[in-house]
Amino acid sequence: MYDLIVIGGGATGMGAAIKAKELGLNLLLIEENSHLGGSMEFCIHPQCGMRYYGKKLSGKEFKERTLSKFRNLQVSYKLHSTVIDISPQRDSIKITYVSPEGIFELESKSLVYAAGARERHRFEIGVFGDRVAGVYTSREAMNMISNYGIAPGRNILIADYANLGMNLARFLISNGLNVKAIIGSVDYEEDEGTAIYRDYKVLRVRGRKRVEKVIVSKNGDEIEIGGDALLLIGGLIPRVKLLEKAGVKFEDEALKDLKANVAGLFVAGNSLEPAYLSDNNLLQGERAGEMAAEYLKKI
Amino acid sequence: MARVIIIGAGITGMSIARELSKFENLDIIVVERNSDVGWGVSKANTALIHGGYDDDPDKYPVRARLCVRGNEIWHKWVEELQIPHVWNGAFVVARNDDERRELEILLERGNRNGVKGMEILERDSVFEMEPNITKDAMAALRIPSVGQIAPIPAVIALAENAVDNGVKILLDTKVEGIKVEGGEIRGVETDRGFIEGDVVMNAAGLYADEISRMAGVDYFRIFPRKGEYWLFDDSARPKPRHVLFPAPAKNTKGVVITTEVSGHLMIGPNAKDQEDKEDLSNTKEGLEEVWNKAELIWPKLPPRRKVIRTFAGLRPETRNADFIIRAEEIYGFINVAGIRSPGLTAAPAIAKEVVGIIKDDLGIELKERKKWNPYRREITHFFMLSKDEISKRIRENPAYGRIICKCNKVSEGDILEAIERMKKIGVKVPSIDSIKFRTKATTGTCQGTSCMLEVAKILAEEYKVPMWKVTLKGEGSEIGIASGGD
Repeated sequence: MYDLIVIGGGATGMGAAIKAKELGLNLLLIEENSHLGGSMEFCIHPQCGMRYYGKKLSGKEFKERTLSKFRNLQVSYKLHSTVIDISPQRDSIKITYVSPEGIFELESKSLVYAAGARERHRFEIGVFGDRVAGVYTSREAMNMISNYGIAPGRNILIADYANLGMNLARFLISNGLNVKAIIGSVDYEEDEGTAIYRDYKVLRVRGRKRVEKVIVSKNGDEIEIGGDALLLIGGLIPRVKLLEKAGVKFEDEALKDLKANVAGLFVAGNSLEPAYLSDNNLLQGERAGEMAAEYLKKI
Repeated sequence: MARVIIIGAGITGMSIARELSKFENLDIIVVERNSDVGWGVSKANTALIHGGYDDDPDKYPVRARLCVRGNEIWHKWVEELQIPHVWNGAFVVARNDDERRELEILLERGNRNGVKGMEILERDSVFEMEPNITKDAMAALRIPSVGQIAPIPAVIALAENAVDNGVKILLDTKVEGIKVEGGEIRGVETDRGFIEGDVVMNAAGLYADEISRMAGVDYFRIFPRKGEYWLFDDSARPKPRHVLFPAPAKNTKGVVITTEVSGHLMIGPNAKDQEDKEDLSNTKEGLEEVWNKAELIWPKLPPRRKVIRTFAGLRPETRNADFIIRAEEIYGFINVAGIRSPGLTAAPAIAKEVVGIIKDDLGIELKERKKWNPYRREITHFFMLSKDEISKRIRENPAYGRIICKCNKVSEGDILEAIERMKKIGVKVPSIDSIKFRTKATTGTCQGTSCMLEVAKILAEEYKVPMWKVTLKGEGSEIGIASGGD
């Protein structure tokens, strides 16, 4: 029986694990991907690093710093491990996970759920038209470039719903790519040769096999912008289906302070209140780790 | 030995291929321009196995006859071929006296067509069986034989079984001409060379008119009619228990509300004629029309944010709207054209009809194979396994313990099995869509935005191509672009 199981090895989960380890808990962190770090490396927020490290950092730097802190504490963790069930028991929480080693059940006195969020995709945003290659979420595109060495397009368009388009453009440009335009209700100025279609909305994508152009509109006027990829910064949606199945009530007041209606279960980071800023997640993860430790003292 | 060339690897072409594979004196080649089977008309439709009450036998005698028979045969085929299906029955909903009279007409027509077990339900029974239906519902025609299948998996299953029984499939092969000499078929010209043949079966869907013209048979045109759909997340409720139709409109059976085989609420289609046979785009106007019409029957539609996909399909319509299934003047040329709704339902019956045409009209004597194999096994789906089965699979191959698609719980093992099957039927261009239709990876809540790259990586490794070259849906839809070195 563990004191604490942390689900998710991104900023939040690592924050929780770091804090809980410092407080002496016997814990295990479970990560579904082949590597730790979650979406930290894709943090393009202009404030990335300021609040936690007191210094403006790139997403990659933020991830490296956090990883080395985590590694120094020698927290136990498992990779390639997908949690498929969370079942509250009388005095503990049971989880089931699958990995290339098999399917396993583990019990823990407490649990921090830090499975993060995913980005809204084109169908949720309502970008209609052709369903062709070249439409990606911003993180999918950054992942493509950083971890798979693939360029999503030659003339990239960004649809920005989170006021982070220029930061994404800088990321792309620093990777040798050409950003043609940013479309959205944004408050930054034109920069780096990237045109801004301010207050335009992307209506639809057109193309036979891949993106050839997008149709955008403002006050009913439609115009076409040519490009071969459309990247969407569409906002984040918490990944909480496992929690819903476990009976967690999201309208519960206490959840605002990370505490779920299931005893010993804490929810933090992008799974609770999604933001495109890793500092907030790391801090909130630490808070969840602390709360788990406090909870263990009481039972 | 007679060589039969089937043009088009859709539900029609593959049903015919499988049926003809029963005969040892036929050598069958299927030619398809797309990179995988089932990517034309078969790909995007309402996925219904219709009852057969809707097709007026006076106006559409072929449809009326083959729909009911096709429905019966599907009950057997889904078992033999392990095709995902559900037999949940349908309601045609009447909201006023005029529509109520329509139900009577449909009931009478259905009886005439041989549809079994239909009944008209009164208001109370309708609400008891579908509590979330519109309060305006005053009666419904219940058709218990209606069901749903997964259409592309059905084509895939037929293709795999056909290949097991000796059929050859040539993908990424476009027919450019049909060779006729002395009033007889000699073969087809393709972009990859000439294929000699004695019989040419035109099952080319939207392009059946163009193919027919290549053989000099030019008496019909195919008109694309677009239908658009909304698909909701599996968590979106309420979902109907039955397939719900409005009382019929002129050109279509109307906007259907259904819980499709994977458990997602789906609404659609509308019907809009267009010229372009390639334009499958979704339009705001079309989708809004579907939404508004669906609301008339199903007022508690989930919020828009629960939509995970919109899509569109094209129906291959002809002027008189009945199926064209016949041996033409050119000896050996058989048209199987204008296979619009209820084409999916009728496909098995069409295949049997074609066997008759080959025997009776072409006078080819058919000898049944002694060792024809009717069965085909579905690949592993991690999400369908019990805990014990999961343990066993992972011990055999750790890839079954690596979950790639988190939304639908698709393992790397599932994907590797799918790739093996793709290679078996001759898929040469690795596509995300080929994996999607076989495993359900990338079809969940996140629509692949979290796992598409991992799927592409596996495809790239198995097909030994650079990863950027993996396509979404065939050549030209590569996921990335060539960087300097490649």
